[in-house]
Amino acid sequence: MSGKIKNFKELDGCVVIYTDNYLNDIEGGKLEDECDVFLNRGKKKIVIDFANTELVNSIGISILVGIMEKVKKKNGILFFSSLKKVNHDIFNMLGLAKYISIFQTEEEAIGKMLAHE
Amino acid sequence: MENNKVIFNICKDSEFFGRVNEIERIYCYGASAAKSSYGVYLTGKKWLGKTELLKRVYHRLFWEQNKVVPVYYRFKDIFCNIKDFADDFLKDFIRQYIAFLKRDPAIVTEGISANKLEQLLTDMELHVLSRFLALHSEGMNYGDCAAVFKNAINTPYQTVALCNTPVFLILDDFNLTANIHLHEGGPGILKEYMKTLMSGSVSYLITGYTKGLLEGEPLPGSVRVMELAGLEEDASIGLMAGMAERYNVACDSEILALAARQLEGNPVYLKSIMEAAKRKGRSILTIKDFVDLYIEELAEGNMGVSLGSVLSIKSLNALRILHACVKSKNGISEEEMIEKALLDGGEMRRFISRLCRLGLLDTRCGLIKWVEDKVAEDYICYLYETAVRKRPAAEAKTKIIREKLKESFYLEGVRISGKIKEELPALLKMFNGQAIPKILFRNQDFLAKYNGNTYKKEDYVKEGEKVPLPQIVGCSNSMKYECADKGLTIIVGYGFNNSGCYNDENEVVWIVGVKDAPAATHIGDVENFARQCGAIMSNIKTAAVTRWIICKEGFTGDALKRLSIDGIYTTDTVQLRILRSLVEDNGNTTQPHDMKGLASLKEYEIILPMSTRAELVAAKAVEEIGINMGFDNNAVAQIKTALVEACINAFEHSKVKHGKVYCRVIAGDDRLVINIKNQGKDFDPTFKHETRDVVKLVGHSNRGWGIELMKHLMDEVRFEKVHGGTKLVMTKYIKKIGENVYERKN
Repeated sequence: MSGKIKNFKELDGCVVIYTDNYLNDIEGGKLEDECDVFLNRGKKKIVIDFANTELVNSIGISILVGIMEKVKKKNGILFFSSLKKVNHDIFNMLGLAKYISIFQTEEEAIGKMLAHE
Repeated sequence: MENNKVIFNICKDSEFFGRVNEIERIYCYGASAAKSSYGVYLTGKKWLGKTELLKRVYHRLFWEQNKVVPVYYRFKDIFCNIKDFADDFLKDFIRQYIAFLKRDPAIVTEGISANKLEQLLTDMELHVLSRFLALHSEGMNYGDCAAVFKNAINTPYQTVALCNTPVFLILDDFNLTANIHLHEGGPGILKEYMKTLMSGSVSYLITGYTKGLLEGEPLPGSVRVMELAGLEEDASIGLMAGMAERYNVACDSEILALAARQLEGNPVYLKSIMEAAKRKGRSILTIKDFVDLYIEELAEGNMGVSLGSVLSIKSLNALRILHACVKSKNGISEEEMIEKALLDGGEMRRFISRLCRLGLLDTRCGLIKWVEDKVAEDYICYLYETAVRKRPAAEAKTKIIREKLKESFYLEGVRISGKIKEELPALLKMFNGQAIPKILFRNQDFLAKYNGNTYKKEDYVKEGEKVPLPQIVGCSNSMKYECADKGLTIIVGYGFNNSGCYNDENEVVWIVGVKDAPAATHIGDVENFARQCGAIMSNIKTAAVTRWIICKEGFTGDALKRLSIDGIYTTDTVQLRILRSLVEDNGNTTQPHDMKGLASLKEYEIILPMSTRAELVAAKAVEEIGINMGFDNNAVAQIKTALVEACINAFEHSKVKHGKVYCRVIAGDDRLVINIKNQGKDFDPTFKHETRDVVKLVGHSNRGWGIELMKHLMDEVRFEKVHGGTKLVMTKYIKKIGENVYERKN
């Protein structure tokens, strides 16, 4: 795993990971590593919060798709939250929204996550 | 090729390019030797790769078929006498014969001794060959050179006759047999050997440097001649680009193409340049980069050393002879040469004869002529300047550099001409109100002003009257309008004067005639063009027609006069190159004639190095520009995302080490236009995924759908192929009230 994990919040039932301002190959890689750590520790409910993310590029999105696959393989649950309008549109356009639940706020996502069995 | 299948040393597969057809052809000759016997003479200049090619043919014949025994033998310059040659040839033949039958290449590669050979022959009951070895030993003991020679060269024929197994003889550097003498002072064995080859039942392939192998005598009709030229341009570029990638040498594909033409596709020269670039840590991104490397290699590098060894110029007089030959276009007579060179006639003849055998001089028709080899010419000129005229090396190099730069620049223009027909539609579509110097459309004025100097750059021509280009919106060729008698190729561009008004009054048509043939446009072409234009104009309604002829080789005087009277624009390849450069540099800058429009355009240029997060610099800049223009937050975010995507694509597809990405942002009244240009490899912007569902795409790869992303975020996205790379143009319009800017435009 690269770098120290600082941008996350662990709750009883799930973990929230906050993405960087620019989701590119490097930050995407770090995000993926962080998810791997939590999945390996048995934390299968993950919310990725994009409140700080202004820009994503296609490589970052590819990495997100990879994370979605990994969570699915581990029978986990993954939500996205707080996407800015432009990024939400991009995810819609690319079809990501069909495979993942996207929430307006972190609180909404956490609420749904904890209610999920 | 796998290592265990290599019998004769060859270069790495990654450094061997082209020659696929030649290898296949010779392989087929060899494989069909079972059915009939014939001869092939493979001719080509030194270092074109004949030996490499033949070794690869040999490997194929050894491993891929079992009917014909291939035998490869390379004549050497080192043989002092006939006995050495005969001994070497006979034993080599027998080794290869046995190796093929036993499918054991070690017999060849390990060079087993004569005793072991005899043992093998006994074990295999090849008594015929044992007999030849015995005869050879006897002849050697008695010192009977003639017997030894005849036994050696007849062995393949006798073997075929007695063992009933066909043989394909590959005799490389056969021309060197002229230097092997049966008796001291006697003639070389070349002619006699040829007689033996042609009389027998063995198929063979011999190589040499010149078509005139038999020194003035034509080859018999039964011998097929195959001429090997330099590598084709694509193969040359492939070779150099592959080496550049392995050696981490930054290069531009256009410059590599130019280098390939200058070096005439000679693989040894091409490799020398790349190795020199690697050794010196240099790049080949500009004409000057290449020319500098080239001159250094000639003067002090491997190319110069190799040429020096081949030419073997032992005296200043010999250098004078060569220089005189190089400079004389029509050749020099022997008498004139003796007078100039102050050499003894015999010594001069020997020197010239050797150079003729190397394929550098030709003495047919009674004159001594230089056979074109640009690199050898430059080497000789450099030596002459320093050794005979006593110029300092730096001065001599500078002289050649200047000539080479001019020549390269002209070649660049000539290359463009080969693609005029293909690239003209794209060029016309780049017409968008740019103001171009009129001199680029008037060939006679251009030639008069620049005295026919073909190497002027655009900076010299920017002054003077300008022609405002229209906005061309589409092109077609004139197939449906063609007259019965074919004239120039016609391309028709449709557009509007750049006043922003798309109405009938502003509609324009440009009818462009292109002549790619290697001949100047003459009055006949002009008349044909006029007829073709007449036919086209009768079918279109607009009155504003501009006619233009582009010709690779220029125009005759009469044609220019007539074209001038008729008001038809005239452009040659040099003018076209400059014009294209000016049009590209102006990009999509709209230059409306009204001053208000001009004043409202602001241009910003950002040059990004290839480093992590460099694209964020451009994104930040465009954010400020977008906010100033009045785009809302979401639109600004879309523009930033699209720009970031465009930049990383440009970085990825550039493939040029230390390359840059050029970002130009043009802020207009109602739109923001972004041009992104990279250096290097073009990429195919038509690549599209069939699905927009990125989750269905495999893995962490970003292949192609980044373009979809840009098209979603911006209102217009298009790619233009430009000189040395690709340009991406994206446009975002400022949203008007009620307009939905999220609608995708296809």
